Amino acid sequence: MNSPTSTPSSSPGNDPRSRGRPAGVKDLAARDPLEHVEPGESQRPISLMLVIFLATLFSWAGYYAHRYGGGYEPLIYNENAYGLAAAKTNAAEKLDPYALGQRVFGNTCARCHQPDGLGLPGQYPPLAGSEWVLAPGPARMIRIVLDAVQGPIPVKGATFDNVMTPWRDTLNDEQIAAVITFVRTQKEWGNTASPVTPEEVAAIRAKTKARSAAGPWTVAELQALPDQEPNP
Amino acid sequence: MNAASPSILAALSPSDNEELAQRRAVLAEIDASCRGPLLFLFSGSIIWLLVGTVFALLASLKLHNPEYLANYSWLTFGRVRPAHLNAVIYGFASEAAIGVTLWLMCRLCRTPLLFGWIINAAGVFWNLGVTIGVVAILAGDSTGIEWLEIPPYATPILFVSYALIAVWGVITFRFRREKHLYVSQWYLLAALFWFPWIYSAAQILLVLDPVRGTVQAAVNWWFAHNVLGLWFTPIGLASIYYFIPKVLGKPVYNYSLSVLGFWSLALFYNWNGMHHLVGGPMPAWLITVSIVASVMMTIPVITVGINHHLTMWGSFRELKTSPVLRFMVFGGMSYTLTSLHGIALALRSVSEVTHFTHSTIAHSHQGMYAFFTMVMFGAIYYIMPRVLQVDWPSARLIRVHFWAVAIGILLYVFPLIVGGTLEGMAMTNPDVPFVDAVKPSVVSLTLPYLKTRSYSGMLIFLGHLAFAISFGWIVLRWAQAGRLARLKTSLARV
Repeated sequence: MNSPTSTPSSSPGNDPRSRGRPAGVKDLAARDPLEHVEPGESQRPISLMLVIFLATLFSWAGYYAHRYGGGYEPLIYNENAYGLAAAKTNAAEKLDPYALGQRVFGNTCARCHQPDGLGLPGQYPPLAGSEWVLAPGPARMIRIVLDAVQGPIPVKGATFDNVMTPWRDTLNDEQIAAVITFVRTQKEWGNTASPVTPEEVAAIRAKTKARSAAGPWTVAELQALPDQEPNP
Repeated sequence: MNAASPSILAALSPSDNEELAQRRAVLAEIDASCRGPLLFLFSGSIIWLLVGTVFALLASLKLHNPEYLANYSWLTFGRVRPAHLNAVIYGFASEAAIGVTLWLMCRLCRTPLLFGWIINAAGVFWNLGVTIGVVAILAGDSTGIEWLEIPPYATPILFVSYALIAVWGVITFRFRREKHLYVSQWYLLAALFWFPWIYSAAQILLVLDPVRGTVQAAVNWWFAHNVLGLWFTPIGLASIYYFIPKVLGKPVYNYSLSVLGFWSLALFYNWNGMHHLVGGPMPAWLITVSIVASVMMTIPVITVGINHHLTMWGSFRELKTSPVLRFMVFGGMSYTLTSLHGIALALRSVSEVTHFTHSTIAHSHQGMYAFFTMVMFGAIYYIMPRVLQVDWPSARLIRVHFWAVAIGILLYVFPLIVGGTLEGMAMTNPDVPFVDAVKPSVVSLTLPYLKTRSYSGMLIFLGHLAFAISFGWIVLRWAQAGRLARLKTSLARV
């Protein structure tokens, strides 16, 4: 079937369906004598414009899926990793050392030394402007972060009698180098010492491996060391 | 049962009087066979509509007035909001959708409703499942998974009920008398298969044997998005495809566009969903593929939009006299709008701003209400007088219903889209605090939009009341007419 019945052209006035019924409910009558038979479809070609539109859309889809698909790798989370080769370098992308240092400081150091690096008087020594931090070489500071130090320790004219926590087994060379660099170069605290590389940390970590079993460093031990680590 | 009045028919076109009368007799027989199950399903759905709207109002009021009813644990926001969602999705919308599907299936297959008891049993189970589910949610027993909050002891009831309906649909289709398949039937049959697939997959992967980690989020978004896309959208579109040409007495504009629209929906919709996780810990390709699929949804949306619009073309003045058409055209235009809006929301740069804001809520209501619910209202207005053989009692109530919900939903959606976008821009701006006693903050910025939503909700509730009164009234009229008819026959016997 499906040729719809042709109905006489219906203007609301002469349409028999609207006669004698409240306006606005023309097709809601139970006994609708003019109910059209079930609807059908017309056959027409699809317009060329639509075909062009579809083709454009499919091309775009292919481009977008390729460009932002991360090579369909399950472990690529960054859509800007273009293609597989780029995705791999992207996966190994190194964090900005400053950002890493800031994060490590916030997670591990700030609880005692405080986010502003000023410490707590009588309990935790300051890092901002501390002569231990700003020493010309990082030899002592790396040792302190690795294996901690036992007080009493004089810092900026005050003495702190406390014991630090060692980080040898918690932080890796990259993280220790980053956090020491962050603290030594933190201009907002007035610290302008030189940065530290992961290699320097690795060298001292290896050299002091045996020493670590003996617990935290004492101030006397640290003061006996040279400022600059002698080249091996 | 033949409803045609011969005098008018004969006056108009005497030649096909006989054939038309015969066709109408078939239609009347089909309508009569649907009466019981449809009365049951539509009554249930309207009760759930009212219940769901009350929960919605409570939830909306709580968002700008947190102390309101805050001391009753059953009515806290975390319970009222999912209660609203499940009441309207599974109680109202699904039940109305099933009813409309049954009637359209019977009419288009030219088959009276067979095995009505299957549908009645399914309807009882369905309402039982939703009732247990909503009460359990209010009691604090929700699963906590959006769109699947109904606890696992109620979902099997829903699933059994659904299985009965789907089996019935396939049986009716198998015994169809009309060999030609109209476009509405493709959508209806597909929806009958798609819903159990997404529902059971999501139940298994999220509730019965949950997958781990972020995969849960992926499955959840896939399900939530596809309930709309593969269950409500096909039934809504099937209704529009049926009712616009039916009321106008015109064929659908272009068969080729119907084919293209249907298959592109089937192909692309179920890839959607992951685009809601832009910026989340998901493999990049999953989100990218979802965005591509969202944009490819332009194809079904544009083709269906063109097809509906050009069918309507030249007949817009019919909107003045036909409420059914008014609801259908409002729904059809909302479908185009909401889909294009949704496509824009899927893009990474837009999603970064609008996601996790009220804009998403506005978007889902535009789809579920401005499109689907309006279409269901129109369909029920067309179906009820035919299956009951009684006219709607009041044109005024229908007008109140239409204008209240139409203005209400526009007042809901558009301000909230604006408010949500401003909210997103404020949230991505570190200088704006989230909440502050003095300075303008994200919270103070969204407040006027949230209040507007409560007002629009009240307007919508008013419309629903008008609808419920209309519905109760027509059922009452039918019952009275039946009593009158019985009285007449018994009098005639005497």
